[in-house]
Amino acid sequence: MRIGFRILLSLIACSGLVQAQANLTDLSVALYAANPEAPAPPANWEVYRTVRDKLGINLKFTMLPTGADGDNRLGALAAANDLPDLFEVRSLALFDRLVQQGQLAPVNSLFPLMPKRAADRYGDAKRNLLVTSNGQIYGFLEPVTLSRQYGIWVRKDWLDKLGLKPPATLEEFFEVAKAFTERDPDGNGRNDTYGFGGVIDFDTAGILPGLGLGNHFQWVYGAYGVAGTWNYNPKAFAANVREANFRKATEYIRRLVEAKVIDPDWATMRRADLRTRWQQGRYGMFFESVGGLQAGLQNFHANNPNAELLLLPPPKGPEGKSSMGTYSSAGWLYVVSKRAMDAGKGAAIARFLEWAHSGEGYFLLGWGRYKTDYTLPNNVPTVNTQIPISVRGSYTQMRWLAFNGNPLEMRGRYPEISVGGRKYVMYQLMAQAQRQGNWIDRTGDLIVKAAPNQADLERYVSENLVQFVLGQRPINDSSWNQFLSGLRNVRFEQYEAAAEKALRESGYLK
Amino acid sequence: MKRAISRSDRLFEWGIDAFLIGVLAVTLIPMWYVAMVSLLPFGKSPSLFLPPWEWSFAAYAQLIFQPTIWRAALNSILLTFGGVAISLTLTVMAAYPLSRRDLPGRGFIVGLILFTFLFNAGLIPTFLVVKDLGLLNSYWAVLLNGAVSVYNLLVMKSFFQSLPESLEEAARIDGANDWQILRHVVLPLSRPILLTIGLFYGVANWNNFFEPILFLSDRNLMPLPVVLRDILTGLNVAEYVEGGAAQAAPAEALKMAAVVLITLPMLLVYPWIQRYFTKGVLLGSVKE
Repeated sequence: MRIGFRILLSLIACSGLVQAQANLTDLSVALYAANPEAPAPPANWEVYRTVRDKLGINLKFTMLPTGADGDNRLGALAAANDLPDLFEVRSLALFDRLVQQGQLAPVNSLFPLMPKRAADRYGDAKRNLLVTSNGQIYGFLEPVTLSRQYGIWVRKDWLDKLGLKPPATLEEFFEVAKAFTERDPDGNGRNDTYGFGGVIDFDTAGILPGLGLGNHFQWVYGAYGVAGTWNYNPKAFAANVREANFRKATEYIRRLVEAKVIDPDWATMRRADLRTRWQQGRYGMFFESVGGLQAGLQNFHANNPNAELLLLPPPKGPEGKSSMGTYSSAGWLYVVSKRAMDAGKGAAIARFLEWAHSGEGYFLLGWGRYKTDYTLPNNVPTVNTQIPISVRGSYTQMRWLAFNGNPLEMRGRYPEISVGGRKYVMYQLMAQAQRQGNWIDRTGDLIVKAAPNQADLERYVSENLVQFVLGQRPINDSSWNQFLSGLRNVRFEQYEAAAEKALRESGYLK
Repeated sequence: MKRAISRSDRLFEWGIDAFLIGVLAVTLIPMWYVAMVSLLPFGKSPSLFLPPWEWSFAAYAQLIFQPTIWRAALNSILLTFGGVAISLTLTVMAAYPLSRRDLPGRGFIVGLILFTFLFNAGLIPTFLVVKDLGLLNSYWAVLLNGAVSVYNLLVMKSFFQSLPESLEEAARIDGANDWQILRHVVLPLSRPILLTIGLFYGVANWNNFFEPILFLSDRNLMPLPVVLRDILTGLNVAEYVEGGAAQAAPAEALKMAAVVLITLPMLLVYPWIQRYFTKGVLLGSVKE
């Protein structure tokens, strides 16, 4: 009798377990690795257990390879009708293609299922327009949290040594750069320093149009009021390249080049080369992000024990204008495959994203294991640096799903650090770069579809500008007009007209 | 009798020597530079020559002590040895019959194989085939896809054709069948070509990067090139560093150390079988 009762109890328990297992929703999530240098989360990852127990989700996470390889993989998966349920897209061209092919599901219906996350992150109707097609929103476009962190850093120790003040205008910038190049500011008796270090670099290449000389020289165009591709003037919309001030800004850069105050290799250098050289102490001023600075400080101070850095406000142009450059407020993009939505997984996806947005999910995904990977002194998440990133990073490979850029988070991610005997308060530097840069919002650029010959068009403008500033072509009325009239040959005016139409229709240009 | 060397001959030889030294320098200097930068300590500039007391193995230590690297290295070794075994077996099995003049339809089969040399299916159809065979996320997808290289197959076929037919006839008179001839006569004589083609396959498998990315989802299955490339990518994305993510070595040294680590095994293997290369590749083209 007793045995029979036990068997009965066991059967009931088993049936409950089977029922619970049957209610689990399988969810495949594919994201770009947040820490590419660390392995995938371990099989016993706490997140797997928590979402299974609390959300009824059987999570399967895969890391997408970075760059074009990731796009190729997603393309192959799409062709095989095998896309993950929730995944990340970093190429707007791929996103458009997937929407056209009907591989993605509209996500409007999921917003009410994740009220907190939707209100905090997806409430910007203008930003949602960037992922809207036929009135349906086809993705979760996150607000960007780390843009506008670039700036011009100046060697204060060199300024002091030469008795100079931080430059506030383009003219002062020129003079200081000249002094840094010619007056041996490092005192080694060799002519081996340059006033400014920057490279041709497009931070968001492939998403935003790459016209011109890139981010590192936008502050010059900003000083003339022509930073970015379009001028966004509702009454006189045009491409900045056709503005008179654009030529003046280009002439200024040429002056810097002719005076040999920019590293002569700048036109062919990559961002990594620039980083190596400023860390060696070759530049008096250089263009760098706060994150890039933080990563290179240790090497910098090992090379330059007495160095001190200042973040410069963007120099003013002749009419008093200034801007460090442009930014877009659109961050990571997550999409849902139509296959997943058809299989009824929408609710589980919303449940998972809402969980990741705050509380337990936020901390687990964003910071890892409490008291192991991080602690919370004064409510500020503080990373345990005793655990190497190769281990700690495994637990936070999905952290971009969680991070939202709140002030405490920024203090945790960009803390006070001591390097080379100097203290750097990174989150304050980040805030300073964002505040004083007078940045121009060019989010609307994302709504402008790439021209059919976008690559030719960008190459034409960039190559001509490089020739102008390197002195390979004279800058005079004739050569500049010739350059502008050549824009017609690459059908620039059609591109400009399409851009204006898209911007006006979307409301980015009123 | 010692042959008198004319002045012009000597000049010609000097010219050749100088040219070869130039070629050596062109290939060696970048490798040397990579090695030097990989040993760079904090606070030193990349240079062609570092004094020994300024060397730092911190970059190697940082890479080698990552658990990911070891797993990836094991995966690479598995893929390389497995790949060589499968590819060599399949190549020999295809090349030997095709080298026999009495094989019916030999020209047609060689034509079909040559067709794939000139035209390939492309990424999506290949992916679909692998998927439908149920090989996704398994090493079989990487090992079987492209296991036989047409170029290597033709070289091996040519080598087999160059072996004297009389040897085969003698074996046949002694009662050997085709398998026995292949195993006891042909293969022992083909050591140079087996080693040469084996090395080709070995290098290709060791460096294989795109197929694992395409066919494998589980990061724990990824081979060394993929993992090292991800580490390098991580170093470049400095905008998103985490608080306290201070490195133990300069980023440039880490990158170059990764390059050395990935090329070193092949560099070590190469000299041991280099002497078979000339025999292997050239004999394949010699006709009886």
